[in-house]
Amino acid sequence: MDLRLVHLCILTLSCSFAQDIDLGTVIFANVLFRHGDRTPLNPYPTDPYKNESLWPVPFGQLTNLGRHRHLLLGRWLRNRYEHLLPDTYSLYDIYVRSTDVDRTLMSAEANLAGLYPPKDKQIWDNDIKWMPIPIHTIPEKQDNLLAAKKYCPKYDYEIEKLKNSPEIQRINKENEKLYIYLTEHSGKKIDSLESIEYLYDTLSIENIFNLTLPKWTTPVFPYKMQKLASMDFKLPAYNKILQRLKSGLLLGEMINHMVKKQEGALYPDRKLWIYSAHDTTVANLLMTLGVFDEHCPPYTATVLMELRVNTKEQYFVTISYKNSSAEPTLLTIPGCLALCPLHQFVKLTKDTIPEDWEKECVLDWEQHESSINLTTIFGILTSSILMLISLVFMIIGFVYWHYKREHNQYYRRLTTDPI
Amino acid sequence: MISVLSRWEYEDLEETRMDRAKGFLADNCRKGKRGICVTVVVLGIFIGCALLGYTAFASTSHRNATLAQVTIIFRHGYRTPTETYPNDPYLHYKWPDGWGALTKKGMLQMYNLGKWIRDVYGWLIGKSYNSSTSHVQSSYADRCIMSAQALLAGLFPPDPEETFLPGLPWLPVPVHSTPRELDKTIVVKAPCPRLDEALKEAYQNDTKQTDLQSYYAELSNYTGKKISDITDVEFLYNTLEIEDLNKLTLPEWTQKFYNDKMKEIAARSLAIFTSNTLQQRLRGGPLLKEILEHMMETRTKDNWRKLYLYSAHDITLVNVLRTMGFTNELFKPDYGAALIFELHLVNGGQSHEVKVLYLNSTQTMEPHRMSIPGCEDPCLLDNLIKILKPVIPVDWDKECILSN
Repeated sequence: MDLRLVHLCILTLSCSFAQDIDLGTVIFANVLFRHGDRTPLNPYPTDPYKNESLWPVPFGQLTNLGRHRHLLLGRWLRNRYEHLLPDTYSLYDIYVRSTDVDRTLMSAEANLAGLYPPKDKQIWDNDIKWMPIPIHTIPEKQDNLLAAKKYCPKYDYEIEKLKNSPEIQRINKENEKLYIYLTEHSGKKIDSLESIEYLYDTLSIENIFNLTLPKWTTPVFPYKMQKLASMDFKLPAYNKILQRLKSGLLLGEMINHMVKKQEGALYPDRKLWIYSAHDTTVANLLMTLGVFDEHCPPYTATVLMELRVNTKEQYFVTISYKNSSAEPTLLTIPGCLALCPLHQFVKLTKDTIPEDWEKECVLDWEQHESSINLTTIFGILTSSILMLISLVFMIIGFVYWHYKREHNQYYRRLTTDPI
Repeated sequence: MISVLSRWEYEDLEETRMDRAKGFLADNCRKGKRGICVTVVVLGIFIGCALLGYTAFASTSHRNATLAQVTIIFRHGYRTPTETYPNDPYLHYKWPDGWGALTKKGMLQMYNLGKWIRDVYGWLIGKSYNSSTSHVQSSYADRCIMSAQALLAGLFPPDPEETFLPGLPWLPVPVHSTPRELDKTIVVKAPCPRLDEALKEAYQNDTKQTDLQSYYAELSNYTGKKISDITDVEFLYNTLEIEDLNKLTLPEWTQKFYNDKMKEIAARSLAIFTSNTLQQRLRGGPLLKEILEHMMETRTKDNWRKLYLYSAHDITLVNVLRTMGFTNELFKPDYGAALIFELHLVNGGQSHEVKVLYLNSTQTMEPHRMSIPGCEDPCLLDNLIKILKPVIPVDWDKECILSN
């Protein structure tokens, strides 16, 4: 009892301490966000709203609300990094990378319109308070950093393994009734967390658009489906190997920026690195950092990985997550404090960063062998023993037959001799 | 009843009315005002015709019912120099946004080009941006991505209900791009040993043909930089041109050099990248192939994309032009210069006709028709494909491998 009290004391003490500590000043930030509001990607077969012309923009495209939300996020970023970023845009201050998808490219543009409204010298047209800012991208199939869609056999193998694992299979079994119910009503095969997530996404967008959902959704939407959809966001970066191959390069690049910044070797000496991507990108990075709270990352959900320096010239990293219009929450990665010393941060994340992604993606023979389990070894052993036994029998049989034949010959010769 | 009764009366009425009209005309014309009368009638007819013509054609003056698809390759807008030379009086000049950046003037230039495209081809692509109607691809260079964005601001001004921020008449439109080392269409910097080899050869041939050694020596002397081939001259020309455009006084020695001769050498430097069929096939061919494939979509798809925009460099335009056979003249495209491909469905959609236009100046905005060598008007798509076959790569990567 006493001990518990002491613990409590220490806890409250450290908590109040944590609030007072000097968070230092941000000198560099990696910012990863999800695009703004969009229309459904792919409606289900029985969807009353599956006609694309019913929507303001084609499927999967950014809506006006989405543009606006990102413009506001851009303004919020301007406010947060006012001390860091000059008023006017320069390629030496900021780099923007997006996945090669219309809605993420457009979100980044809208965001930058909020972050860099042109000021005096940069105004190029008096009517348009906007200026072009380059956004870099790469075709999705070649992108292993942000879209993470470049072909990686090892990842495909590992994710398949996870989906077939007893753990996931158990979840599937527990929800079999729900799967059948949804398949029946939506006209689409629902047999995994992923397929639930897609369906949930479409329904929640229709909900946001104030469209009346079909009756059958009432008992399952949103809560029952939401729980499973949120769970699905954990899967793509569920374990170390998946994290390494899916998010490791992105995390590695972010850390590299911060380490270089500390060393004074970042060239150009930029202040902000912006990544415009998807809900899965956000979830995967948070999973990889070990701070993912099971949920579906909403539009414009933003991860801020900031490098800070305090008055004693010490460098720290903070991870903040902004998943609403409110201020972001500070997250603490396992094994560190919320204000995590940079070298500690580097050490803790080391095993999630691939040394040679291309090489690690190769599915080689060794891995096939290591995947051979006890039963197959047992099977191979018994069958080879059986083959050995049958071989012995065959030899015995042959010897016996040969011996017998020779006797016959001898006997026959004897009978033919007198002729 | 009515018809029986009124037929008579009707004629009567009509007669009186006509009488009165005749009287009015005759009255006015008789009293020595014949001249005025004739003028009024002629003017009336003239104005009537003009009005009729206006309502019938003016609003659609650019609307060409046969047009089915447009592809535009344009050079980025005005930029700052990409490089300088040791003796440059502006060696440490503070260019806004650094080297090789799109300038404000360049943004406005591209914005106006976008507005022009809206005027001419707007009806084809609808008022607001739609990814299934238009597609924008850019070179990886910042100035090209920014040029595309500025152009799109002019091409897709939002409707009042579309603006997401009061007072900001702009909407984001996606600009797609590919990193330099993977780019096989716009800057063609993806590794290709065969092209490297061919270029080396082309430089050697060029040196053999013309003797510019003393010219190079003089230039090297003035600039303090080793000038040893036509591409060095081209880069120097570009720097001088930009400094000149920005009203910076050029040093004395340039009076003798910064002239048409230098511009021609610069243009030759652009041409050397497509100096033979092999180079044309591997450097200009990929983009041309893509354009032809898009044109073919009008046959295979019901809903084909109507507009393809490529934000590119001077070399891209020259590559494509020369690959198409425009090898008799030298090109040195200006900033914002555009090469336009129009695909028309003629004979009730039975035949596909290709028209090529070249807009060299964004100041006049007057494109001129170019007659494709070997494909006389009307140039049908099938003919064009046949003619271009030798310069369209089948498997670029394979053809890039050196065969020995």
